[in-house]
Amino acid sequence: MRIRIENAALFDPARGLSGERGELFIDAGRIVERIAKPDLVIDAQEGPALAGGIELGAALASPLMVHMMAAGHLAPLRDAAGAYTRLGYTHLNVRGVPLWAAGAAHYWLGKLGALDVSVEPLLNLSDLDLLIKEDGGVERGLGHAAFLMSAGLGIGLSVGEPFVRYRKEYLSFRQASVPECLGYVVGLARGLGLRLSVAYFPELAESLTQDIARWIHLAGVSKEAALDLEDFFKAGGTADIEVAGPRSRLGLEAGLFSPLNARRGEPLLPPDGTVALAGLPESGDAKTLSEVLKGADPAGFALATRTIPATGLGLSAEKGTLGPGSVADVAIFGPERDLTRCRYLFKSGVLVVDDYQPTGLSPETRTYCFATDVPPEPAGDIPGSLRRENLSVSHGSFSPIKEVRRDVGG
Amino acid sequence: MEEFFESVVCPGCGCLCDDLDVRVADGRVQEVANGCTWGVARFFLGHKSQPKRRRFRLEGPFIRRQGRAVDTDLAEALDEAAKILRRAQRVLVYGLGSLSLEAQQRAIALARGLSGSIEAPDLAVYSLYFEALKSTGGLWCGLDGVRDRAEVVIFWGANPIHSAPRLPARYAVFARGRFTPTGVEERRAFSVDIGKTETDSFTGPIKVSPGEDLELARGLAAAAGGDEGALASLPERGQEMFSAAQDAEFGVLFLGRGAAYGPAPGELISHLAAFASNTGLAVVVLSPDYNTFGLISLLVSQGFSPSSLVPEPGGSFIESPNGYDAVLVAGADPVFFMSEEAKAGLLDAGVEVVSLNSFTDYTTRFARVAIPCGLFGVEEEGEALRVDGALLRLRALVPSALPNTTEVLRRIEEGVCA
Repeated sequence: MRIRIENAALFDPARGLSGERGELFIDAGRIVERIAKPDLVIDAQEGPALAGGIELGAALASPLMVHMMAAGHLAPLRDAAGAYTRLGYTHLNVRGVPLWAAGAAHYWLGKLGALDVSVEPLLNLSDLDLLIKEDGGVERGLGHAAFLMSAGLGIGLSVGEPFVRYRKEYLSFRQASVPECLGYVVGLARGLGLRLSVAYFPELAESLTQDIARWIHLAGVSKEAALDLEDFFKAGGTADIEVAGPRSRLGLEAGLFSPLNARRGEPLLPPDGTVALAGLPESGDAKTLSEVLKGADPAGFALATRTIPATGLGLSAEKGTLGPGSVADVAIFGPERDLTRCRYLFKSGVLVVDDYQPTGLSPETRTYCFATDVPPEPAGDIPGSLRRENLSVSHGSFSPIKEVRRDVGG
Repeated sequence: MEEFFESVVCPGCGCLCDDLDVRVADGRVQEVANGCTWGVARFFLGHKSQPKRRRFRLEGPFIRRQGRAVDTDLAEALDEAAKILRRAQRVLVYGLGSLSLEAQQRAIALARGLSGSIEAPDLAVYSLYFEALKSTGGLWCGLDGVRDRAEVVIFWGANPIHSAPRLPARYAVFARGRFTPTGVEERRAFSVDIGKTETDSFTGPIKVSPGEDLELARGLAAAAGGDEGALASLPERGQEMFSAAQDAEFGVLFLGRGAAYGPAPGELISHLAAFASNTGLAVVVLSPDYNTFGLISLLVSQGFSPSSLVPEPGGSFIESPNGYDAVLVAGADPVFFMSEEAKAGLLDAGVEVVSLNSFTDYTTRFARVAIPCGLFGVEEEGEALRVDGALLRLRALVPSALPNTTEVLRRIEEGVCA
């Protein structure tokens, strides 16, 4: 279907658009320069038009999903997916998924309907501890990293802890410091050609040099830390803050020093143009959303939920922007500029929200994963108790796969 | 023709062991390597707990007319099943723990369409634990984590030899993990049960009388909350277990069906959840059915509240079968567990039972309609969630002329809606 969206206030930080009035054209699921005879014309009535939102750190489909839902900290699957759609999101990424749980993550993601999805399997540096200090350790680690992504059908990797510290004293020779680990992670990122997601810890602050900024995305930064990362951002680094959801004491023991918590529970931070927001639609009720977005202008919102997340995931060539050639994921809000309710939402050129109401149409969705030339070869034992062929995510039970070469940005 | 299948996933229990190697010839399984007796029995179509006992396949559908089972064709059986369910006011869908995720989804949709209830043998333990999470929080882990890191393992109301036979050897007690290189020597194992079980031989057993388990759990929860008096009042082995749990870097508490048998299962499990949460133990529910975690996950993800899945005390189908007009049983044999009074109640109340099963069993003897289906993981393929949430694909290894369970459920649903 060919669509013209007219009379829209365009917000696309990647292209320097900050509310300029203009038109958008969609053809065959992509944004195009212009079309002659549209099949559908949407009058945006000067409402903000943004690219589809990208969720970087969803709790949906994580290994703790069922526990969070049972404890009332997360809405049931369909409602939670609906919350994303209502807010104009079209892509959902789950990070920190241990390899044994990757199949289940893809299974649940396959039920989400109008959302593209991706998974970042967990890279536990303790699994590579002996390689970190070894000459040529990065080369051997690359095969392991490629294996995690290939078996877990991942778009990247999520580093759970930027250090290796053992609880057992007799294993203390296997400890590695933050700078050693960070150097190793950056080596892996360079070798694979993608930006790796690293969980934020205060110990990281001193090691975040400008030359490594473009190779890592900091996940779950604190409000205070975000204010101190100006140089890191200027050098091309990206980060996100996890919006506080309902307090929970749920955790997953994943072989890290601390359990992976269901929510870090940092205080709210309005989008100010430096960090992305993660977990926004899952943060709960409309009151919480309106608190987060209170006073947020569409430009900051577009940066926090579109531009930076797309860069963080390496998908900025086709997502998070309204530029011609990108996937036609477009969210149009009402003229009153209420960013908690999307008026029209196109997913791959299909209208999934029309005048604030879901249409029930099923757009084409994709499972994004990373295409690498590095041969997948785990270092040492295959992580996990499952045999290798059963560890790999079986194809077929989820959205069609799209392999992408990622853009690490400037 | 002979075929070898490697790394086959076993549908024997919730562990879903994925390292079985199976030889098939002439359309039958000839050899199974690496399985426990339960798992192997499954592939040879034997009885789970009594592998040598002969089991009879349900060869074709039947409808019981005036007390006699009359063979019929599939279409008529499906039609009759749909009629029974459609005209019933109070419908129960029972079992489902031994079905694939896809079949479970169909069964849930059917129950929803009929405004019926869902009951499964181990749902109560899961539901009560999930309910407790709201107030206590909790830690979750994969079986890999148990194998690699667990220093303390506690079985509460769970006899793994009867619910997950390879669990102690493959993951929980004897397994040598990455950071537990000597296996059992690095771990301390405890079990809490009311009677003598096989688990006693490799754990520090704590025997409790009915009701004492609640006192013990209450004491453990209080001690974990910092009450030193409560700690002192625990029995010696209980204190030992508490100290081991508290000192361990990581441990796991396996909850079994037994935890839900007492007079106040909700309170007991809530105390255990508090004890585990405050001492940093992960909690994993053990189920002898291979996909009970899949069932609870589907139910919760679709918005069912855990508390709505717990029958009232004495109100389960096995105890009070006369609370329903019609019951669809899939992948379970509830009548086997019923008392004589309950069986009489089932008949007196005229409860109409529709049974989907691969074998004849106690329930098919009471069924108004019985429909044979293939066996998951042997004759039918499908996906299932391991007790820790790992997704595994079960394969169809031998051909079967029996109808597919998911398809049968779909057609009953169609018939009900017609």
